[in-house]
Amino acid sequence: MFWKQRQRQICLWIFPLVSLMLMISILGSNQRLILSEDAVMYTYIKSAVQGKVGYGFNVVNDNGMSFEGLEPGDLLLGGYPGCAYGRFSHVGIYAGQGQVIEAYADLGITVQPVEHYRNYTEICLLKVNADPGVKQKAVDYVRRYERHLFYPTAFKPGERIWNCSKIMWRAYVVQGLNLDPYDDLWIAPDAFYNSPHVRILREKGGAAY
Amino acid sequence: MLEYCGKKGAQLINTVLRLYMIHLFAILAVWLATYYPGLDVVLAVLYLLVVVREVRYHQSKSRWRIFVVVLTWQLTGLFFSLIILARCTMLELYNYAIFVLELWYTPILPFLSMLPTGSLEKPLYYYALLGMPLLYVAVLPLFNKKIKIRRLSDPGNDM
Repeated sequence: MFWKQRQRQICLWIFPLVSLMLMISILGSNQRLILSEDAVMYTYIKSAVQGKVGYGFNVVNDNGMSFEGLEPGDLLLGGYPGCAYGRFSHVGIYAGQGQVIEAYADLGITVQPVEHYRNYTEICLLKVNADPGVKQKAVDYVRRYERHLFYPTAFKPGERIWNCSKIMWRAYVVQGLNLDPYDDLWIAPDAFYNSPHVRILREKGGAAY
Repeated sequence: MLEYCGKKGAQLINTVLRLYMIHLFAILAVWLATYYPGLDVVLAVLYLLVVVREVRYHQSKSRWRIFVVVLTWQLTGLFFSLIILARCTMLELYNYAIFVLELWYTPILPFLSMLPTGSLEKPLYYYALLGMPLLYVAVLPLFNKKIKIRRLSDPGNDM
């Protein structure tokens, strides 16, 4: 009877204890992030306090963006008003021939026409400063994971669970190019905008967040 | 009679609350464990063992009560799954429903990440997520120990 009661208590408290240990472990090995105001977690917390949750509010929009000049491997950023994680909520990689590879919750990693980026209120086209061969390899890397699982708060480590930013970041990191200027636990689309390895080809919007 | 109903009701509520607590902290634990690839799979297996144990040892001889316990516990998943299936665009819920469903089923996310991609319109994990509330409600009550004991001893004597 005593052992049965003990088992019931263990079942109830095992996950809270494991969560606490994992939090301590992760923050312990990333202590600089606790003090860094640029850390993505503080962006999420500030947004939550302001009532912003998720990617913002879909608005019917046509930003009239031209996609001329994009090369395979270049990045496209898109955002809506009220986005919880900065100016941009989404990133895709241009695959050539009017197609972009990106990730969504219901489609996983997917190939879509580039034109839908005209629906975003905020949009930015980024040219990645790398050899065309490296950029094509990045596109091929992302394409390899087509239809794989999307999870909104995917951490950087691992190759089973993705979000739109992580797959783009990893596609270049495996080739020795780290597009994340903050070296954070996650990567938000805004990080690509601030990366020293890209230059802005074209952008529209520019609302302050 | 009232005392009996109160006692049974309290047992049901107790089990539902325990399952909620286990599930909510398992969401946090498995999510954090994805930082250490592989550990998330271990915790997902542990989650299933713990949940099966909870259902298995629930003090009820009625399969309908176990069914109610699991259904009440999985109402969140069921609600958002139905929102998606019905394409209900009320209050912008439809746009966020898939995110909430993924977050709610974080404890079994490692298993979803290992599913084959499939060749349907959407990836297999998407359909698995939509069907997860039904899977929980249909399969978990089968693990209840008391139900098996009742069938062996006296099938007609339902308290």
